[in-house]
Amino acid sequence: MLEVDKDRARHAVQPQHAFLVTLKVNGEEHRLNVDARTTLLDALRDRLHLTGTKKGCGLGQCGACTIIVDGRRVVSCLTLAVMNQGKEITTIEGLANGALHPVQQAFIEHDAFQCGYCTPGQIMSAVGLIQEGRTRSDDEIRENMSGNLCRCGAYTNIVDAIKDAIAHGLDPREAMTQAVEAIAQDAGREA
Amino acid sequence: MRYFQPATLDEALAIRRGNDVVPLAGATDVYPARAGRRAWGDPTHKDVLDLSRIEALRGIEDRGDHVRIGALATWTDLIRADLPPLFDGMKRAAREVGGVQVQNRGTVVGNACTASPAGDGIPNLLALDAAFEIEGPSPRLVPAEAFFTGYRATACGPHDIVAAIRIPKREGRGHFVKLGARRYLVISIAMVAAALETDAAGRIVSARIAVGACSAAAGRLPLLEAALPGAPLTDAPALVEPRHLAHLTPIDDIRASAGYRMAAALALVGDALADLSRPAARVA
Amino acid sequence: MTGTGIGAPVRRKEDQRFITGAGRYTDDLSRPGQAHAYFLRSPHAHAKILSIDTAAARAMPGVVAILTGDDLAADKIGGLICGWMIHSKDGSPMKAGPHPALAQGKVRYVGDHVAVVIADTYAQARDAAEAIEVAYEVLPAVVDARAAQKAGAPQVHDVADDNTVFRWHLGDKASTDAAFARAAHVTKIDLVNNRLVPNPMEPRAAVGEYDPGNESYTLFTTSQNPHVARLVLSAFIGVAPEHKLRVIAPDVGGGFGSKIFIYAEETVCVWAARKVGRPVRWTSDRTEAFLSDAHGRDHATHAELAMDENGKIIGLRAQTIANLGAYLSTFSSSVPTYLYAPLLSGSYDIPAIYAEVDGVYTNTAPVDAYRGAGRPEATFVVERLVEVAARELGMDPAKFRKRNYVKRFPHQTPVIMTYDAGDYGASMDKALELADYKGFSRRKRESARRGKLRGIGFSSYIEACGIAPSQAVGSLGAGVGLWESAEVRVNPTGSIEVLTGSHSHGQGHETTFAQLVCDRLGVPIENVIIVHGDTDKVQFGMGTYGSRSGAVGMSAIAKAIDKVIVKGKKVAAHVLEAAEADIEFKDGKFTVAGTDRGVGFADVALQAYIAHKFSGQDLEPGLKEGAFYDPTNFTFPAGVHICELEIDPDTGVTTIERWTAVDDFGVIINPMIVEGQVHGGIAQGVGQALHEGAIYDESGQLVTASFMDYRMPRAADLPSFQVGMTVTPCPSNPLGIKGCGEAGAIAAPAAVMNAITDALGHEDIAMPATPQAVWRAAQKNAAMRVAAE
Repeated sequence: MLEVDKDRARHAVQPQHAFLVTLKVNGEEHRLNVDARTTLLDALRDRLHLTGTKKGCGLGQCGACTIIVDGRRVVSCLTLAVMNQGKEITTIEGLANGALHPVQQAFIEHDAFQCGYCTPGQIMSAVGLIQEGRTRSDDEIRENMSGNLCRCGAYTNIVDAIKDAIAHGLDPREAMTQAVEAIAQDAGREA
Repeated sequence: MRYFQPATLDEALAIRRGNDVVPLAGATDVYPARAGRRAWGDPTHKDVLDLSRIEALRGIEDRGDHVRIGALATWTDLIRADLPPLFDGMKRAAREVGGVQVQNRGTVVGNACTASPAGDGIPNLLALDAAFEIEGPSPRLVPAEAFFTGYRATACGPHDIVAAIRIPKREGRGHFVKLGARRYLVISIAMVAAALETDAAGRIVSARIAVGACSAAAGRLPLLEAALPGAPLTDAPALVEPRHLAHLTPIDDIRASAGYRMAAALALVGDALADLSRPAARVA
Repeated sequence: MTGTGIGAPVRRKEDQRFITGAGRYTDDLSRPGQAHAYFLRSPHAHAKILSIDTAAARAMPGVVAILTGDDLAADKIGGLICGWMIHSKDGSPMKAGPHPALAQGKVRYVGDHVAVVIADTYAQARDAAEAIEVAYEVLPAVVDARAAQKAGAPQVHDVADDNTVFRWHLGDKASTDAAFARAAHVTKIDLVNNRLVPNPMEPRAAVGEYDPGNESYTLFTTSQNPHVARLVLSAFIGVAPEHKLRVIAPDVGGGFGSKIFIYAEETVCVWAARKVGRPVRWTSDRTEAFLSDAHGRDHATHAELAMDENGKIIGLRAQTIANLGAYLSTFSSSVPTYLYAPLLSGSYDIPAIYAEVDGVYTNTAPVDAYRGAGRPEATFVVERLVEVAARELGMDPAKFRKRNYVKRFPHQTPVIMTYDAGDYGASMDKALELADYKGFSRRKRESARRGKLRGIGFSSYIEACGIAPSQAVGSLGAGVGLWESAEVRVNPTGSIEVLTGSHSHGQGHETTFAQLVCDRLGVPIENVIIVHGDTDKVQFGMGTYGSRSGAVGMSAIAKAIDKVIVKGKKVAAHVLEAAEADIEFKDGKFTVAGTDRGVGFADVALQAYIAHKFSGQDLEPGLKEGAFYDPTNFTFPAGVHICELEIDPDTGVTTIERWTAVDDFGVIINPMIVEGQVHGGIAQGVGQALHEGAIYDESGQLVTASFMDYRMPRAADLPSFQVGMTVTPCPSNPLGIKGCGEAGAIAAPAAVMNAITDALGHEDIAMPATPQAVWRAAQKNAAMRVAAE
């Protein structure tokens, strides 16, 4: 962390074009040099080869690049890699811990997708939604999943999958904890 | 593109004074606004001043007579904040900004500074008599009505940074309704924010109502605000007349005709008042 | 029955990789040494290119090459093709202008390809493209097809006078006119079928590679039909010889038709890979996708329906102008002709039909097949006509439809098609019940009490799928046959690889095709793998579109499986020392009839490969069979969709309250997957009716080029759907399958618009019925009421 602070001190007042950033993704730290204009999405896909996170529009309008940063779902195309220094980033690749995450399992059970391209974003968004607890009705789920486009039109089944993930013992508040713990365990194993 | 990431407001102000930079908080508005062009790669893009590391700009704070929304406070922060019913409309608007993924990063202050005629947060700021804390060569507090000076134009100068928005705490309830061609993630055709105070008998004591997306900058409805006090709240929807909106100058574009925007705004004002006249079901 | 055979709602085998982020789509691939392509596109809808100065751009950092149409011409690379020849009424062939992959002398729509920059990084390529100086002489543009046919309109291609590519017709004009002459009532409507952008969530992408050692090329691309891509790229465009070009379409993230076609970008990536000696990759950004993916629909139609005094339909005629865009895309000419007019009989017994279709060039993106392709346009015409006619005659729209349904099969329509099986009345009855049609008037009164307008609308669609008998489509102008191939490779351990020319882009073939194998051969589903999307693995195939993969692709697999069983019986006869004629195969076991002696499928597979029990001269070793299946007819899925909605007349906001779908897809392999297809089709159909519309301004700029302005439905915009099924097996293929992929998109727009016009009480509203459009129409109602008083 000391190094990070040094980095930051250096570019606090002096501008930079390229940055050495440490991205903490799925429990693993990656140090990489990025151009200032590199989005977090491009850094994940092109630099860390975590291609599970998809680019559907690059404008924050489709949700295919949804990931979880510090416990909240965000679109990774609308944030720069340099802005995410040191934050806890979870992508679709980090969600399963041996066994599938309950949301992943529910997506299979309810046929909640077809082509699979928007699916990582839908799943990460659903994990975020369940943790937010805004799932009291179908309408509320639909409203709060509206940031994720699915051109295959699997919305009905996505709503069912989310309800099922909640019903099958996934306490909303535990959804995130579970994901974070899974990552911590992974990191522990690797360490 | 040059990129600055200061840790203090003073540093940020120094950078702002010396460089042509675009301040960036949540980054969700700056990017799409320019992405039709080249977004971050646009060679004509201004350099970026990233405010996201400045701790002093975080949070939503109850300061007794007013609530202070820091420049880094996100829409989600607003939704989750424990605030009186006056802020219900503001919270409703927060839930209509982008998707939740954008609400988690986009900021209330940033949305105001972009000053789009269709900015979802702006009518509420007008209806709530918000004031903008501007830091810079001449620090000052600017009322919302003076802050929004026109189409994508504000009173925030090239060397200034908006540090926070202050909203006076008053009695009453706030509400917000919006119409787009689809329910979410769409540019608004018309929107209405209202803040009403009523007495024990259910009569309107004061009314502040603002309309967005129907003129170059969002604006209040002074004629209607003057007509409502004294009336029973349940009668309020029936008191709305086209002349109350006559000063608005909506544009014709591919999203909606001026006539439709006007008619929709009229209907929405009625809807907002009707919603407020129902038992206080907290909306946020 | 293993629980994984035909008819079981098996969870999809492909899902594991998709939900863990392990799917591999084209843009997920990274090739050693790759360079990045960026296409400089025309900002003008119509302009002459006077000069292209690339000097400054070439000097920019990272730039590897900048190529233009001149370089293409110098290398004798041919233009993109349209593979379906349409002849006009006068017998003349369609007038197709040149379609170079990079513009030569002229650009014809915003987004047309002017040059490609290849650089070390995408950002460098894009920056360099900004530095290319193109001198344009801007020409007047025309974006509307009717305007394009008027005298003095800007001429898009020299070859097509009045910008008209063909003036085509189908049916018997004389008998149709005669029917109208004796009609007791004639209903007339004018309709626009709005232009749509397919927008699969995965943007198009391509990576071209060249191996100088073997002088061979590889193209990774987002294709629904990699073999067709290879054929076109080699035989017509001439970018590489067919046997030295491998086309791989890995996971494909939706297509809806837009990934059938062979576009400029993949052509350029293959060609450029050899020129620069590095893999060249390109991925569309969303704005490019809006501008340059082939669009769908865009018809303007005048249609008339003739009825006798008993409310029996006796004739239909239609005049359609189809906007084909600036160039003829791969199958564009077939969509408004043979995929459209033969469906104008709908589900109805109509003795006389005559249709005229003009295909027209404009300065807009090319238009080609999009989910349903021609059939949604036909259904919209027929179902709007029928609905309006019923109202004009004062008849209940459901009863009017039932009166006119085709009831006896096979039924020959006057427009090519022979409907083979169906029970449209049964679908209607079931739909009426599920939708509680009887309770509608009560619900309408209840809405009225709240100041809302409630409407109900029907769409009793039919489609022609599984395209199609090769001889038939050949006689109609198709450049290819539309059969499908399959190869079933049984391994010595009894596991099975099925190679198919179909290619899934979300349809779940890896599951449904495996279910068929499992059902027929009695092997566990986990022992079956489906191989597709690679021209080096699968010999040939026609790909996936037109709801054909079940009816045609699986029929080919079934044929190959039958051959495997025949061969297996021969092997089993040797193993069991019995006569081949006495061997029976059931539930994964070969047995000697009338005895308890038998041998399992896996054992037979092993015996086939070790060949110890028979002489390899009499019986060839191995257990691998291939088949080509050429359909004998189209298949005819049909059904009834009912939309019930509510309108707020003050704001024009429309809310769909109930959706009922009763479809007859014939035999269903996996009901879960079929239901998903129905949901998706309805979502796109509702999108067309209420939200989506590609709009060009007069100068030819696409003003709806983002997800904010091109409003595809999101989760909150759609209701849940009530889906029911009726089943009449398709008699023309061995599995009885009809196809389900397009039904919802075909049925839904008419159901929505019929419901909206029912709610409003008049017809004056077009798609998309946005809140503004509905509000305007509702205002008109109020004005009419005032006038009436």
